[in-house]
Amino acid sequence: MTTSLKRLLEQEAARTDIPPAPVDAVVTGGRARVRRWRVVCVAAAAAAAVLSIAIPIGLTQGDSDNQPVEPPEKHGWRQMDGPWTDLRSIHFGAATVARPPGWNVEVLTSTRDSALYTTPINNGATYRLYEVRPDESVHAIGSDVIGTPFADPAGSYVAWQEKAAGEIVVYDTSRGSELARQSVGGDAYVIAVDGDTVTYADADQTYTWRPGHDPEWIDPSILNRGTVTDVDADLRLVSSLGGPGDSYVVDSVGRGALTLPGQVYGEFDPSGRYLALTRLTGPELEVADRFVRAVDTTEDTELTGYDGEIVQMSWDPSGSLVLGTVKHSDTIVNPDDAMSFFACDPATGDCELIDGSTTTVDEAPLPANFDTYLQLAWSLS
Amino acid sequence: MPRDIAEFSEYVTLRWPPMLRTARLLTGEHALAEDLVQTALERCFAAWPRLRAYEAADAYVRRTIVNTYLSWRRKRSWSEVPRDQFADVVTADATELVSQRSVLLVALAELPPRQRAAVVLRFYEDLSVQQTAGLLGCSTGTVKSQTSEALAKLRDLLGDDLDEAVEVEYDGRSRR
Repeated sequence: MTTSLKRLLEQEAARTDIPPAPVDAVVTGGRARVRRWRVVCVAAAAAAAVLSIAIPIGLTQGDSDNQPVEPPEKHGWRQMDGPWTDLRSIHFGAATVARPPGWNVEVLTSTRDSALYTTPINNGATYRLYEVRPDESVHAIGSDVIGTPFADPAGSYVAWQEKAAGEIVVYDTSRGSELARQSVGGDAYVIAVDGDTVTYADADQTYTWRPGHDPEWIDPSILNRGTVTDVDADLRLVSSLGGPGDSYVVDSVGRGALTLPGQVYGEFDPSGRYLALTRLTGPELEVADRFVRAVDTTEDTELTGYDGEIVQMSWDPSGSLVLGTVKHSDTIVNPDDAMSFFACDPATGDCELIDGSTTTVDEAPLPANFDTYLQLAWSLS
Repeated sequence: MPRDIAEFSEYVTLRWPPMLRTARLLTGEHALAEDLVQTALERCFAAWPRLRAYEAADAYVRRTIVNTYLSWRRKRSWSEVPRDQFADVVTADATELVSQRSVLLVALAELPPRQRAAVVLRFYEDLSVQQTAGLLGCSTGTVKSQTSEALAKLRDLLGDDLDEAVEVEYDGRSRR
């Protein structure tokens, strides 16, 4: 019977009218899907900007009833020292510069020396990368940038990929000059910058590269067919994505520090002691849960004191977990949905609403180190 | 974002026909099949940078087609309305039915979506039980049982002699 059934199916399939392939519609629709994902990501970034505003207002200036200001440490988090932006300006430390009129700030990150932001060019096909220095001067340091530039907020390196050149570029903000280039071809993308080391991958391999030295490829057997999604010192988060295996934290020689069952990605906190993790499930890789795990004890921290659906987890430079939550009725996050931000102690899981952080999802830059989520969102959507 | 839209466009052009045929067997309708494949390809656009070769893209799109199909069956009212009683294919009425929609598609519409997907993947796409299980997100045992149930139902609906049904379907008349 099955032979006959196969014949039936093939004959029926052959009767299908085949109109011309809707290439333009597919590309347009695909771009829209990418943008929709970006709305979610951008919303979280908006919160980071709000957070950076709210904390100085709430803690260093006191509340409206003039109660004494509590030391930030009591809340488990401190003033963000990263860059932030409002509708008109970009702020970094004491420096304030005007936002580029008419352009979205797509990515906003920093080194210890400079703030860095991108604006789209060529109808969003590539980006231009700008550096904001403490003297309030703005310098275009990269053009033809694709993907997301990565920087180490505690270091001085920023790395990005240039499309036409097929190179990864490393720029040293402490010198104000380009440091090195590495030819990588068109498939490569930056994963992380940690100190003086850039981690990047192409279609075949994952590499660590210290400018001035040859890139070293990471033995695939160490990665166990997973994908490096974050790096902290000698620890690597290796995520199983789209496959049946588990995810791991491994050291530089592949010794397992932590096993994370299933498809998990996430981000190390600045100390490398905690991971903010998102577990994906099912063939469509839907978000199953988000959790915080201590690397050394493998204990999870239960997050309490927040409401809404967590759509983003990130770390601020001081080591507080920042949750972005949305209350929405639709299955996707919309630009006008209300979004709130909570600061959480990764040790206790206690979360507090950040005063004044509730806003709507709107155009805003991506915060530092949110890029992995974005990369994965693109790849998994 | 795809690094090479031209390459992606070439892929869409090349793979559109076979994917549309598979989707039509799943959905039973041309328009719905086009929607299904277009949706899957849009998702493929977002994933294109990670899909190194056409083979990888094919697997990704096939998986997306199946999952989207099953998802639509869960979420949307479906334009296909299963018949309470299935007409015997070798009656005169069957030829009228064939003029509107093939006997096979009507029979497939009687199957639950996962059984239908299992039949299409196993016997049209020639996927193994293991590959089908991977696409459907279930065990190989479940694929076997789903397929077995589907074949039993198709046998009831189409009769033991499927070759006869083929002739009914494409000649528009019974040769008996």
